[in-house]
Amino acid sequence: MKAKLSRFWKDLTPGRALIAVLFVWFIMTCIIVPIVHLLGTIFLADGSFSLEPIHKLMKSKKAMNSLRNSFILGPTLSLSVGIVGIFLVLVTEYFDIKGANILRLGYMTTLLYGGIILVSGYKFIYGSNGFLTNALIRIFPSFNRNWFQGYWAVLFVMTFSCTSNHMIFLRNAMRAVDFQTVEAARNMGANQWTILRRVVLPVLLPSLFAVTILTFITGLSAMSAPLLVGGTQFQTINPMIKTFADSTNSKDLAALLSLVLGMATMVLLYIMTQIEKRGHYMSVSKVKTRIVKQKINNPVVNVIVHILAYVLFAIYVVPVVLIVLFSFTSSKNIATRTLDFGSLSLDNYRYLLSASSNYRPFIVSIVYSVLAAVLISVIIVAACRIIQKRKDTLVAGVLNYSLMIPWLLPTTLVALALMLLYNQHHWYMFNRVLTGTMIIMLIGYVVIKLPFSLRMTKAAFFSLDNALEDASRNLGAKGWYTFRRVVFPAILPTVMAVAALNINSLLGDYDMSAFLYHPINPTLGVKVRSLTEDLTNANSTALTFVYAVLMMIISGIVLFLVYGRGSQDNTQSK
Amino acid sequence: MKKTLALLLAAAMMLALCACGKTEAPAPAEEAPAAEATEAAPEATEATETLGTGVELTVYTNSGSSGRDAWLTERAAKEGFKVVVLEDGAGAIQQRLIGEAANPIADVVYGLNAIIWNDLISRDILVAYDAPSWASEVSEGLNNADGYYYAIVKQAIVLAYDAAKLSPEEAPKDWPDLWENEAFHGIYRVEEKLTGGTTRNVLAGILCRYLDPNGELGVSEEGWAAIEKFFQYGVVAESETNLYQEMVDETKPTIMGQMWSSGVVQYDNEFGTTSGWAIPEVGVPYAVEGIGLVNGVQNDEAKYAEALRFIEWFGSAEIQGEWAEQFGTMPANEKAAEKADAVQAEICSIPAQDIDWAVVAANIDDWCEKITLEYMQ
Repeated sequence: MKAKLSRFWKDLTPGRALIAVLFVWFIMTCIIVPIVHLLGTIFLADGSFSLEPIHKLMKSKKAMNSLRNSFILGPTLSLSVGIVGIFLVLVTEYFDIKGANILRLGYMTTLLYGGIILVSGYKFIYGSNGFLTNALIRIFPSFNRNWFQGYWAVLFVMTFSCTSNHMIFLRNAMRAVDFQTVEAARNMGANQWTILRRVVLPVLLPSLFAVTILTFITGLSAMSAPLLVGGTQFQTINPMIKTFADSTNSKDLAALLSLVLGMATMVLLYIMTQIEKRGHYMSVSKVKTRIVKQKINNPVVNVIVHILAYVLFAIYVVPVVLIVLFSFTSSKNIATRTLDFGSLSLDNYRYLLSASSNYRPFIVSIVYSVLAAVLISVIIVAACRIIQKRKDTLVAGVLNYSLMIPWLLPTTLVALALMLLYNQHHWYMFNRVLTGTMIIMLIGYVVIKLPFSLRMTKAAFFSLDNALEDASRNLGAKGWYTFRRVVFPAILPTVMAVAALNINSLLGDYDMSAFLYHPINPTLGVKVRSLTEDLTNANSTALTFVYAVLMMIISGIVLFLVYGRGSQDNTQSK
Repeated sequence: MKKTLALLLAAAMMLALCACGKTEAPAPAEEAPAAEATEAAPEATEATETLGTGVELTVYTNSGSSGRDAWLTERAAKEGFKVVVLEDGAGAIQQRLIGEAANPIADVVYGLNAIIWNDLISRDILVAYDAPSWASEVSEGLNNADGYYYAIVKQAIVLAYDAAKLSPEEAPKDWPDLWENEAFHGIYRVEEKLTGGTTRNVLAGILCRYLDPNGELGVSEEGWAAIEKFFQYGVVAESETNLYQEMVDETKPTIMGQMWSSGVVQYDNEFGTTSGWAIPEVGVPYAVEGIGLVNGVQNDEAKYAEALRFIEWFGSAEIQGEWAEQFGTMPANEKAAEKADAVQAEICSIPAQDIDWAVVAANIDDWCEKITLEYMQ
């Protein structure tokens, strides 16, 4: 015990102490204190804790149905997204499929846009007045217009919109597969299926677990898909949480419902962590060779896989193409779904770029998202390093779970928590009032993206080969040097990918911005909202499409900066 | 060797924190004047120098979209005002004001509706002020009796229907007809989100007919039964669509639903429809957009004076008339009423329903919560 304690003091260098202080300060002031303060205000509003909200919810058929639907969607979505996601990665990275590069671009379109834009795109095709629906009705007049509604519609839309994480993280993992292991298995007489199942898949497992959990959480907290295509039969819990959170007196219900979701999330994460601890399958080879794409031997299977790959391609690409095309038309064309190639014009774009109040929000949102993404990366890499180094200690556990806390509450409530605490000065925030400053929204942006970033970055740290680090040390490299030259380059692709995803999702944020944006700097999400509720501008629907397209372009640039160079490296190494 | 790593990481974190603090603050400040300068006409800039007190006002509103915020900033600059307009949904503005109460950022608020105004009053977020000179020109009963806000714009909240499908004789006369007359079942729209101002005015207009201090949440059993039927026989609105989109969509059964008066005019123009509207005997709820002062501004003498000057100017018949011409609103100021659209003026001639807004403001959240939990499918 004494020895342990003296080691602790010996280990505690000034630098470490500083890091520890920074982390404790950050976690306490930006996460724990605001949230505890908020929960206190809502649950103890009348001075004492009451079970009333629980009764109210138990009594409500709608609430219980929504909750049940969320818990149905979570696991089924993990399954369906898992199947599609693995298929996509295999088709683009493992099997030899004609036109794989174009397919990959198509599959990656979900990285460019999400949420409401994406669901609207799908509704354009499958909705009661959609292209496909109308075509089907022309062939079968008795066809039910409202076929695309309810559970299956939600599952369909979300299955295709949630494969982004697979396309990034699973793909990264697939590239780490050592081809020598595949060849060795083949030499030993294993067939393609066996190799896939016993050699390739095990290497993908850590990433696969991580993305599956993320998908599960996405399913639990589904929002825009149920709202737009769920109909009355299949509503989930998150829209209800949002409604209650927006209402000044119903916040207790919002907090309670989201705590239920949050607890489920935490249980899942705990299970994950336990599985991760059991260890990983990893190539022992230190000289990995890159995967050589495998031709599918069975001709029938080959044809089927090709057909499926291109059907999926169409499902992914058509909504994007439609959104881009319709951004050149008027709101009326959008409402009636008529596309007249002769009437396409640049008017919407000209209008939008004519006033600085229209494009300034882009600059504001880009600056905020990039700053937030950079800050998040620094915090998360430092945290992961600590968690990795001090595996199985209390410090690692506490750090891990406290950075996950923001997952317990919806964004609206996190924003409120920050606002309600920092509208007054507190010594731990250097006696400064933060509301009305530019910094508070940045804190909010950082806080809500921490859990996701930590989850994904940690997976990368765990699949790191410890032997590399040992080798570096044995060669005499110092700790910092090892980290900088060995560890960091290995996790860099993931860090960059996480940063890109964070930037792209923060770009369109409304929930956080609505409460915290500075009067002179409205963000993109705020601007788009004001446009969609704009009553006097007949063309507002069309303008939201233009914003969507511009957002896709920015997201595309961000992804290109992250991946464009990456793929160049690949071609060189080939 | 770990020391260096640790130190550098810490330095990186510090740097990042400092960097964002520094780069961020000045950047917008630099941009803002530049943007203003290019937008505002030269004479406006000169006017600012001669007329203005130079005191900047922060104005919160939910009525700033469609270029209203830009118009206001420019128009006010001509009179020597420096205003920064923050625009967001009514609910978001309400929440911001509540959240910032301890150290308010806004000086003046305009827009919103009686329900939210009364909620803000009960939370001590507004400060009463002496009636501006135009207050007496406002239609009766719209100003707050205690001087917390004075009305600038009014919107009648009506039950609108597609006049091409229903004659005035066939159409509903009042909200209860919707659930009491089977002919209307399944062809009227009910909202799914109960957070909107219009929706809440409609619910208030229905529920306040059944107030009963002994009933659940102050409403009699009969009242709750009525609301239950209202939602049961309605068609739940598809999110992201408006009433008129559903009206013109031949595949949808919906031909009637709630609408605000300026919306009737605008959507008829946009969608080529002809609307009719129910004229209930009890009158219709009015969403009153007012203008008020945020509690705290009175502590800064210069700001207080400037804010009062701004209110005096903005609510005047002249400016509200220009506002009406520009954005199709219905001025609460009767002297400016002639500047409003004729159809809208006609709708707004329906008498106001007698509603106790303080009671509504105190209960509306709980009512909506109960409806969401128990009566929505």
